[in-house]
Amino acid sequence: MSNQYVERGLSAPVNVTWEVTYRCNLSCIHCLSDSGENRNGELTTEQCRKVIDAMSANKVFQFSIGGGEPFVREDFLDLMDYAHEKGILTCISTNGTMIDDEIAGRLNHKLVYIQVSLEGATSESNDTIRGQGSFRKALKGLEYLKKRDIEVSINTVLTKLSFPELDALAALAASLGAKLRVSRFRPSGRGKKSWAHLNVSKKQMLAFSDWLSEHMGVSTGDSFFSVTHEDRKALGLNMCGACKLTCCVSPTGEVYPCAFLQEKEFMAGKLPEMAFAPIWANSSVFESFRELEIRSCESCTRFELCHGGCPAIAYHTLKKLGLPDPGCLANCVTAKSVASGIT
Amino acid sequence: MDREMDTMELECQEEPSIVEEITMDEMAVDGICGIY
Amino acid sequence: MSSGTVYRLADGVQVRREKFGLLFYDYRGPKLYFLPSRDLIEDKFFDGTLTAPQLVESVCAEHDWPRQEVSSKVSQILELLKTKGLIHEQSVC
Repeated sequence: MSNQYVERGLSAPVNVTWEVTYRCNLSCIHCLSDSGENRNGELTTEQCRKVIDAMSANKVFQFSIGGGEPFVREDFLDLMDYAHEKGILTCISTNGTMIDDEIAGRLNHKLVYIQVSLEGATSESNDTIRGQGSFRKALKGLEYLKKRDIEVSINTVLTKLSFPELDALAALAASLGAKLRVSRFRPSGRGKKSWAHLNVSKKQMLAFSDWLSEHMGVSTGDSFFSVTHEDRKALGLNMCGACKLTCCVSPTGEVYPCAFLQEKEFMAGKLPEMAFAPIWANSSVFESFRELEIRSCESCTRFELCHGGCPAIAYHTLKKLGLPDPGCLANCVTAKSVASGIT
Repeated sequence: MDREMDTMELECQEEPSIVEEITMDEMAVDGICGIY
Repeated sequence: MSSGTVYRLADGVQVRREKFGLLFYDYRGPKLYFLPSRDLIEDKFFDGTLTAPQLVESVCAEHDWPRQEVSSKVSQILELLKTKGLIHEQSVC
């Protein structure tokens, strides 16, 4: 399903992924943005407010906020309030370890949605990725949110470690009154180093696709359209939304097609010194991304379900854009033969 | 894609014209591939 | 269409103008709705500042379109948006 209005070009993104800091109190081995220590050039409070102003002026509906760990920023809650003043919804992705009762109180707002990351249903599996003690602390944060009846989703990245615990994660989410979202592991940031040993096998990906069909209430953040069965078609996107529906702003203000393509060659502009509207409408990076066609997939029977899959994964694994998603469910001969032709 | 009725033409026109048929396309999204 | 009624977005719904008309974002889905209404309705109409008849008057004045046709189209659009749960009516005191 392609959408004629999206293909013709929207005036602005629907949502913007905004990584507000590189700083994090954890050091997850799969971190997409290699977060941890402070880096020079992170946007100041005033600069962040200008980013919010820019998105408000362009009528962006929503921020998907992450980092690093957003709550490590001392000004984060004030920035969140400012976004709300402008009518922008904030979906906050957090490790949950810093959430206490006071913070939970500030998060109790109709424009706030919280996503707490867990990589397994137990401390053994979760802490292997997120660090010792992180499971216990995240659960404490979830309890504070539950006490205030705040709508929460638990997010798990699909890895070899989380795959055997999917049922347990679904049960854990249910026990906490939370939704479960399973998102796709991508080899960006520290994920590049952990990709080989953490990424699921083809067999596991197929099994996961079947599992998703049996768990229609589990969401995927539009990251698994490459493996979606027909029965989940109506639940979300069937194509990459980068530069069409979304884009990413880094902690230092650079604008990229998506959070998983924060590489120099994909930098489209810099906020707040540049105006956002011309970046969105006219940057050559965004224009070429919009014209990206995964030609080798067009003859596939699954093309209408996935349109070639995730370009970021293809880029990081096959070193080129415009190639089929290597996680493709069909795992068709065409994709294999194209990939094997790359040296 | 859900449709109420047939799609209307959307070609850019020099003079705005009144819409001919009232339709509305819908697209389910879920995060639009934000972040984990 | 009543001159005593204005229209507001439902909770969880946002709207903005696009070249084709109006783009609604309903976070309760989440779902996007693409309404190719062109110049018939501004997104500000859902601030509740104009009634539907007032909207029709202003559109006809700007575009010199037949009043009956504009009125009919605006009615259909509002009915469609109400059916989808994107807007609700509010009486003007």
